[in-house]
Amino acid sequence: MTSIRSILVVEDDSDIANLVCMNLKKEGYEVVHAGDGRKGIELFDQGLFDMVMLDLMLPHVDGMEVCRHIRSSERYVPVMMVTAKSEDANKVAGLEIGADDYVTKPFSIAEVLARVKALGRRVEMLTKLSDESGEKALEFGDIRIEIDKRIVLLNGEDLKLTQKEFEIMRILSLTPGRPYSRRSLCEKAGVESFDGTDRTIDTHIKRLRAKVEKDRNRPVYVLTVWGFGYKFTDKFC
Amino acid sequence: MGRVVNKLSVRIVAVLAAGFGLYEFFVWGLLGAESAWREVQRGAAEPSGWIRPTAAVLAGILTAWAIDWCVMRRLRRLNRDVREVAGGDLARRLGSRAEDEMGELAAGINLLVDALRDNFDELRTNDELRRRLVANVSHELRTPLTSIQGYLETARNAGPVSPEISSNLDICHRETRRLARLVQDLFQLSKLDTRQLEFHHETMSFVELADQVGLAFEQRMLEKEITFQTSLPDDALYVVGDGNRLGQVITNLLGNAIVFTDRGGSITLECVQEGSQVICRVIDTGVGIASKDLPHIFDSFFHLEKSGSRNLGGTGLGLAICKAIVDAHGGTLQVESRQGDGTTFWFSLDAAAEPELVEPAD
Ligand SMILES: Nc1ncnc2c1ncn2[C@@H]1O[C@H](COP(=O)(O)OP(=O)(O)OP(=O)(O)O)[C@@H](O)[C@H]1O
Ligand SMILES: [Mg+2]
Repeated sequence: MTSIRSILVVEDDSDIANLVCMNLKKEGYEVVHAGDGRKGIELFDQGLFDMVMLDLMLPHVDGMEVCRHIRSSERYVPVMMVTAKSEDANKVAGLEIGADDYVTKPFSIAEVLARVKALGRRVEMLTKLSDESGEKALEFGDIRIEIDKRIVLLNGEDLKLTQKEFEIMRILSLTPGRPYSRRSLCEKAGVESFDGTDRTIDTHIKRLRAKVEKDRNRPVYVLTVWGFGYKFTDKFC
Repeated sequence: MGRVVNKLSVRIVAVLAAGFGLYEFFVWGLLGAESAWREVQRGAAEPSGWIRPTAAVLAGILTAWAIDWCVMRRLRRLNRDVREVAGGDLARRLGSRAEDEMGELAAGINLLVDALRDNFDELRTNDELRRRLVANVSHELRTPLTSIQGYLETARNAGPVSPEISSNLDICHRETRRLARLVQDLFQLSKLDTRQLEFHHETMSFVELADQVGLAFEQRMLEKEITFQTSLPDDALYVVGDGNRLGQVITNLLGNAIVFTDRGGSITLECVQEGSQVICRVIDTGVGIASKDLPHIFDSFFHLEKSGSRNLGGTGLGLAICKAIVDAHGGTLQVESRQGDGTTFWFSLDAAAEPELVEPAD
């Protein structure tokens, strides 16, 4: 069972909207379509959606604006951004304001469905962690992250991470595959970047890798997103 | 006609005045001053001819100053203005409105600047138009391509159809994907050509990049039963570059190697530091390239007749893009191949120092 059941699709091209909705419905999701940004915000406020698929170029209110609106609401709802430009700047901007994932047009339906599923697993993992009775630990291959005790184990052995290193590990691993910019990682992990370049995070990552990875020059868990920041591997999802 | 007469008379008066001034200065000024000085030396208390020489010297100085004021000052201003135009301020016009040589010179220069600016504007508009055209076309093509590709995909998965329809749908789908790649590649190549592709250079570990790209190929190598080796040193091998684009180069080279290597062959991805260079090689034991084709291998749309890669979904832009990216990093992409023996593509980049650690506060 996946924890994503209803999806809001915000897309102005009716053929593509129809295509996406049709295929999502076939997979058993409930789907609602909004043809522009304003309608998207309206519908989002009315209904309880588990996910939003959002085109970046929309009439009236653009995708970025809609994404900001969704992020300002209290409930965490994953957002998958759809861009027609393969321009990195767009992806970066989208991820920076809180999109969880993105696909670039022309995308394949199989790819979109796979990513929706992956986002579903992510949400599921998060709900399990916030569940009071549940065990608060994440496992990826040989790595075990115990959120409550704030420790990371490699094959059962405590890696003795510093507070900051643990914070970075926790943030990244909660959303495997989601890229974090250096800046947002600094902010979220409470790392001060005194030289203004956010490179302080690189130092923490380097030390973290030295503890977590078998070969720190060829990392498997904490991966680089070139020109942007870092992400946790989604190999185990 | 009136203007010419007017100018002529002004000029005659000016020349006469200057001549008179000079005559006064030399004959009466200098000679007079000298004879007055001699009189003083001979003991005369009051030299007789003081006034005229003094006035003559003053007149000479005044004349010189007047000439300087009229001619040199304007020349200097002209010079300053011309320099500003040369500095890139094509909107600037030279000020002199006088109806003389200086004015005409200024007007001539103004005409030149006008012509320059028109040419410049036209060039800029053309470039801008071309840039917008390519960007728009490729953007506009993406939406219909998404539709076509998606509906074809949906149709293929819709359920059992006759083998003929199924095979037709497969062809349509494959060709659409090829078209999508072509649009993407053309867009990128055009941006590379006009140097509009942005590069985000940073100091990065080349080994980490090569390792990641190599990992992504393992499955495909396995499927084609190709022995795939990544030979990477223990060091990080730092370079200054754009990781996404350099990754694209390695991806393209490995992609080609898979296509042109038969089942059972082997491919190696190797990175080494040699002197001050980081060298990346993609070595395959595939079909190889004939020596007569080697010089054209980096040209856009180049396919070998025999290789038939047209049918393998290639667009013939891959290597052209790789070369442009490596060039933009100050490196060179090279190839070595013998037909039937396999091919080695390699490029080198300047090695960089390990980035300094910024000491964290905790
Ligand atoms: N490793 C290789 N072995 C043999 N021939 C090669 C190899 N790499 C490239 N070639 C030849 O060079 C040609 C151009 O390669 P290029 O990558 O530019 O285009 P492509 O692979 O045909 O299309 P695409 O644009 O999709 O990459 C190929 O068609 C092939 O004939
Ligand atoms: Mg190729």
